[in-house]
Amino acid sequence: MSAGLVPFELSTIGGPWGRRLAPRRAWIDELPWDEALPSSPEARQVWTATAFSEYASAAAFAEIAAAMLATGAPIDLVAAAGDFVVDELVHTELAARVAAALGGAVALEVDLGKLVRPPVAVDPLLAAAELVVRTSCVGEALTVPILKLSRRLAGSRLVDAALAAVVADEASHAQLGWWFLDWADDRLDDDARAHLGRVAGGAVRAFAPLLGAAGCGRSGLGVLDCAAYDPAFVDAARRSVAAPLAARGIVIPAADLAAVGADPARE
Amino acid sequence: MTHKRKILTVLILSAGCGTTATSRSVAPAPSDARLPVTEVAAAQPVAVAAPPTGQVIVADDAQPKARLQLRSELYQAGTSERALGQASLRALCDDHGYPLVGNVATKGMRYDVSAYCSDVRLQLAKSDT
Repeated sequence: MSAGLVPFELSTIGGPWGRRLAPRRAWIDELPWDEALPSSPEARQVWTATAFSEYASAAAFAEIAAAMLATGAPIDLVAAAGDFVVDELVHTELAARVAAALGGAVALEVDLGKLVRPPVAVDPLLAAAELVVRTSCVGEALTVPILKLSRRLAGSRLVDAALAAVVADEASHAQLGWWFLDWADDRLDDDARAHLGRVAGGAVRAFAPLLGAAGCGRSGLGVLDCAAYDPAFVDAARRSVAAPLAARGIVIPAADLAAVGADPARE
Repeated sequence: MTHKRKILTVLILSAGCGTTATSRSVAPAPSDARLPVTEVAAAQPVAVAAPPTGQVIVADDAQPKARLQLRSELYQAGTSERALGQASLRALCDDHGYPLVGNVATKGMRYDVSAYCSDVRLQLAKSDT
């Protein structure tokens, strides 16, 4: 249910809850925060948006863990999904601190009641697979190569170190999707795989408005310019998303890949 | 423990929370130097551009002070910095209003003044209804 748009803010409560989280977030304090960073409106915008993306990813993995429990999935796999919620919240704090170090977060309006697109499937396994495909097989799988490129072009010790830590986590977040699909393989029929292909296609196509846009800022400090972002996205969509899904009999509709310039005919 | 606690939280992200200190400090209040979009929305709607829509151009001495100040700031300031400071951005979403999956919103897209002005017009239109 939508809660309406509200300013995106984050807070901590400390006490026993801060102490509980401390071992997972202590590495943030070890990053080179003494680096003098240049002013970059684009970087502030990107890191504020990143904080929200990570926050939404935390919500997504919370939904995934619950959905996996309803399928009787292996408990270590479910535990990993739950643990990824913590990873993403730590990334959220990291992004908030980087935004602050760059001069401050930008005002961002978000709908906290619409963080995770709910599955449409009624069957618990297919519902869980929808969430997993969208979040892990598409979202996290796209994230890894894009953030690796951002890191190479960062031009900052702090941003390089921050992205290195995030990329390492996101790689395992993407792996969860493939492992879940492989576990569920003999329970997914042709209709289910076709449905999941459409789900993945919709998630990929949603990025189409980002591609080919004019007026990009320069690469650096976590920002990617158009010339760097677009081809990296297309390559990631093909290699990191479409190909491994296809290997599992889940085919993204050609029109969805074409919408982001990733259709095989253009290779 | 059954007694009630008085909870104090530490803000670690908020617009205007820019500091070189550690994240454990409370965010400073947003600067008053910039005119919030909401104040513009409260101003009387006045046509200020060339009149392709047939609206009447109003002289400066008949315009709200807030509108004149905003126009001056936009004219003098750099595009990106001012727009970021005054306009409230929206998270990138899909066609159903849900955030784009993953963390790939790293493309640096500048927020141009015309987009800002259209946001202001939207705010003004909302304040009329």
